Amino acid sequence: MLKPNMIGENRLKRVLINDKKEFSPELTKILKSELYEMFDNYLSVKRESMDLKVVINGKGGYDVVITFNANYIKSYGIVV
Amino acid sequence: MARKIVITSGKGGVGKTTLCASLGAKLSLGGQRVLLVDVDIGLNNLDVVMGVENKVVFDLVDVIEGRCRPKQALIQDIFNPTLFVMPSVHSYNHSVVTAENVKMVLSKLEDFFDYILLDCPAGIDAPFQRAIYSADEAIVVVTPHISSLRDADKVINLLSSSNIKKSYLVINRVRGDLIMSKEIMSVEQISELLKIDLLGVIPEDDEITTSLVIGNNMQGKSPSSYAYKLIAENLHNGSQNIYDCTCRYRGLWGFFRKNIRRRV
Repeated sequence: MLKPNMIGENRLKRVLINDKKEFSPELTKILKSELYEMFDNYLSVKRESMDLKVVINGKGGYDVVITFNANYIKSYGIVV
Repeated sequence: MARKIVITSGKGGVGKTTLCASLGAKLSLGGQRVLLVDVDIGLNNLDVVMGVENKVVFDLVDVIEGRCRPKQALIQDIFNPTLFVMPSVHSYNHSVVTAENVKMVLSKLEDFFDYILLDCPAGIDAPFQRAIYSADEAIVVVTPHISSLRDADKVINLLSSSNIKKSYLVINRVRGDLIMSKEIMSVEQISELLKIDLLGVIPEDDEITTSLVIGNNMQGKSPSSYAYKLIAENLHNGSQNIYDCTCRYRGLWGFFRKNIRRRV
């Protein structure tokens, strides 16, 4: 049998996680667009293959998973 | 230049105004020049908590509308000569009070004070945004209840995406006897879940209620008065001395005190 303080902690964790799970499609779209711009400087990225997943982890934070296909790495010559 | 600190919470009735008044009093007792500004326009209570409600001539709205100079709206505290209050008693005209206007008023006063504490309204809407706009730091006040902690988490998220550089947590109305019997969450559990630096803990204390009736800003030597003093020291010196709410309930006398409290 859990003590009331542990029940309270578990309830609060659940509530905080639920409050954070709303990651809007608009925000996902903006993030994908900005990430594409950034990766495209270094890689030839297939835009349509890009996928972004935002998952809530057990600690109340987020795990962000980005996957995409790239044709090749862009050449920048010799880095000094 | 003054440190501008907003005292906020999300949920109402957790002790923002009381903390604002008491923290101001303790800072000024330590020799700091402190200004308390009531940005909770409409549901203003800072003047009453400070016991200066009969001394109000001008307020924040009068300064913004140009009816007086900023210094004319300041009221000196009865007990501490370096503590001043800028009330906001004219609740009929909110529309003139914009975030920019409040910032402009504070900029005219910040050279004369070491600390400016802003008493923020409850909620996360426009009045909250107006209150946090002028501040550099924030103190989030919570009680050990899930509803208060949930609202505080939302406020902390909003503060992290605002111009606030540093946020602190104060846990109010903590009952040490319930923490010892594991009936409420401990201070450590709360601060770990909210992921914010703990500035202090204030015990549940009847002295606060009496002090609010008298309007004397926790001048006594009660446990809560000592807890406010520690918070003021932590804020000023960067120390991390947290009041231990369970200390009164340890040992033989603590055992009796805990059981008597539960039975009465």
